[in-house]
Amino acid sequence: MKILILKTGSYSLEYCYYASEKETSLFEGRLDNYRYSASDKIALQEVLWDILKLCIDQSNGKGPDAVAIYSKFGGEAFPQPAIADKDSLLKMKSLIPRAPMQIPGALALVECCQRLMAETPIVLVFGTSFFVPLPRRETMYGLDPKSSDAQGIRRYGFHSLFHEAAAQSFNKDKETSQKIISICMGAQPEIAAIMGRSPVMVTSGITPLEGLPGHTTCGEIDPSISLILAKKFGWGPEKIDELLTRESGLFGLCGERMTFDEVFLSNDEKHRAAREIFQYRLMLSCGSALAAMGGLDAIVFSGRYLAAGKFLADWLIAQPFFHSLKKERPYEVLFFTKSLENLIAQKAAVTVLQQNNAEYNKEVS
Amino acid sequence: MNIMVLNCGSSSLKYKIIAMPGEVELAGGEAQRVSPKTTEPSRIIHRVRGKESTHIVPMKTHAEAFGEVMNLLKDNPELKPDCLGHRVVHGGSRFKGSAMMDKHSIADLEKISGLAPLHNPPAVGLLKACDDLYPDLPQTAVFDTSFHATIPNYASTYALPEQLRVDEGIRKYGFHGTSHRFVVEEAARLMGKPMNKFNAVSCHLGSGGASLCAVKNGKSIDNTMGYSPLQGLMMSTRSGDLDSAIVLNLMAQHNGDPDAVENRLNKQSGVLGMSGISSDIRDIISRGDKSGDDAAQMRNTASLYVWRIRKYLGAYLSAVGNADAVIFTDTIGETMPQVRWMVCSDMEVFGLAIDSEKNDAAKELPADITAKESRVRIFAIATNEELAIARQTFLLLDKQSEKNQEQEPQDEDINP
Repeated sequence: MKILILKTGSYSLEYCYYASEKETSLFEGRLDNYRYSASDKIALQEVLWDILKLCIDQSNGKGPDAVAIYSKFGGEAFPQPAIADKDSLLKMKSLIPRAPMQIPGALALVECCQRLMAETPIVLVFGTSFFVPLPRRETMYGLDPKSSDAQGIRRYGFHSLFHEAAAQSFNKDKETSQKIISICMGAQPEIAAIMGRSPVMVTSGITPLEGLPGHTTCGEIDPSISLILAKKFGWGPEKIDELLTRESGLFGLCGERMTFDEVFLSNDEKHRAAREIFQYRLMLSCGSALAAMGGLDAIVFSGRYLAAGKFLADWLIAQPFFHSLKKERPYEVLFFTKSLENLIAQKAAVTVLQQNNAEYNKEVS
Repeated sequence: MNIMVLNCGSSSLKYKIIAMPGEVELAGGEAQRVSPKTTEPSRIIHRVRGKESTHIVPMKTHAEAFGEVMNLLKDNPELKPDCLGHRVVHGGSRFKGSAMMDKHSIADLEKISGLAPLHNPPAVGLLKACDDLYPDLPQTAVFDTSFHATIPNYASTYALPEQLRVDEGIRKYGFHGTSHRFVVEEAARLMGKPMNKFNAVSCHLGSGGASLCAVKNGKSIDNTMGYSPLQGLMMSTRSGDLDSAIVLNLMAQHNGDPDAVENRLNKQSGVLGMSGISSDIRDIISRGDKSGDDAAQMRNTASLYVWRIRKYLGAYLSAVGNADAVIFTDTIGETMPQVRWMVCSDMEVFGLAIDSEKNDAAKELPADITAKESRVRIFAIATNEELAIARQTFLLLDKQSEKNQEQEPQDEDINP
């Protein structure tokens, strides 16, 4: 099955044409500083048309078998991927107030795809799905629950596909429920504690801003810092948000734009502070994950920056606590190498097949 | 020598007179409702050797309250203080240890009031007033932050732009240091280990604030509180850790007013905000097993309170490495066996096992509540910040008298 994958971020649009049987990307690209605005629909359609032409060239005049539209946020409405139809799009529209930066862009993509490829199934895939059933004690914040619930304030994880697949790859052939620390090394790294197939802890919050620092995101900070900046400089929420999400993290610590691989594979003295800060935060979160599960069978690294992951794995198991734990209660350290595109394509293919089966069964009965 | 320990709350002044080095508490009490305007008259509850008396006197400021307390002491010459030891919340980066306070250092302290706008100004006001009224009484300041001056940079640095980290000095400071140090020293003593080889995680669970502290080789290496006391555990009225996106969202909802959000997160959240009925986790836990509409919310509140402590305990036990002990202290830590049980059970992966009978029976402190198979010892230890302040003050004075007067001792860590 050939699947066109479209990923919307807050600031970019990425595309990838993926052959799911061969597990290879046929082509891919990225539009930076893409920010969807309602008036841009025509421009978006033109961009999509160009991408579609590339797809057709690649598959002897035939378009993609399915389109997968990936959105980081799907809220509680989407514990699984969904085929874009009336119902699912209605649900998605209701998420706009929760993720006003992402959902409208994803919806616009759906609309354009429907116009350009009316017959092609569109699958909505979300980064939060795996974490919808997190236990309540992990999702809650120390706030008034009435207003939290009304505003959908709860914790999520945002790298569902990696965590789910990484845990599954370790779980298969195992009879008992395994205790797994899953570390996804993306631009916004995330650590999840997974028991069997269920997540019990995750470092991110209502957004990926909480938890570990990322390429440009600050991670966990004292909540009062935003208020202090507002008071001292008179800055509004947008300005502070820009600072915490676009100018912090490795960029804030190193003073230049660096990836995790670059920071951890360089011996450069000037990036040492960034390495030490991140390592330490990683260790703390692993300790929390351990407390959340009461044990450990495996640590699985995944995500785009696996080279940094390998460095961090070596560092972590050399730390006194994790070193002696490995001797007392041996645990495995693994690396899950599949790409996000691969995982999205798999989800999309499975979802389309399920849908076809369901329709077939309906017709038969 | 009599050391008078002073602890300013926003509208109260607590005091204790402790004879040193014998560590005998001679008198103590609290001036309540210290404020220019009160619905009930301000008063002093004064205790001398277990005998309590109440004195109704108008006290508009902490300085006036201090003057009234000194009046009460006049009748008993043996209670006359020789030195004043002040508890101060924030020492910033200027005061990395307890310090003798003269006009210069008081002025320095006043400059960093912005770091703890609610807590530091009353203490600074009192230091100034005492200096004016009793210029011959030496004064010391013991800071909540100073035990945490040893937190390494990698643990105290936020991943923020240089402008905020360097120019604005935004970093983790940590609080409750006086209490953490006191109970960790007690635990080391109980185990017969030298402090500089002692590793522990200390859980200061107060009826108001709460924090965990990771201690390696007798030094603080991390604390759950941060730049302010808002970060970390869920507390009686403070939210604790929160995605900054939520803070910014709240700010937008409050028309960009940071004071309203600060008030909400510090005074109307946490146990109070979640339960809607009480800021005291003891009330919540005792109601948790009853049925009724609010029972689920009580259980949620208790479970989040404990869950956050567990997660940080796991994090800090990992950071400390070979922990010798886990210590529970302050009101909740000392009196709530349920909390200790819920935090420590199912933590064998850390070599930690709690004995349920010893835990339930622990009334007289210090108590060892460790199960036989546990590698890490678990203690409930009563904190005594006043005594800790008296000890620090006594050491400072001792050091002062050793030194000749040409050099002004300032800013020294007396426990290097």
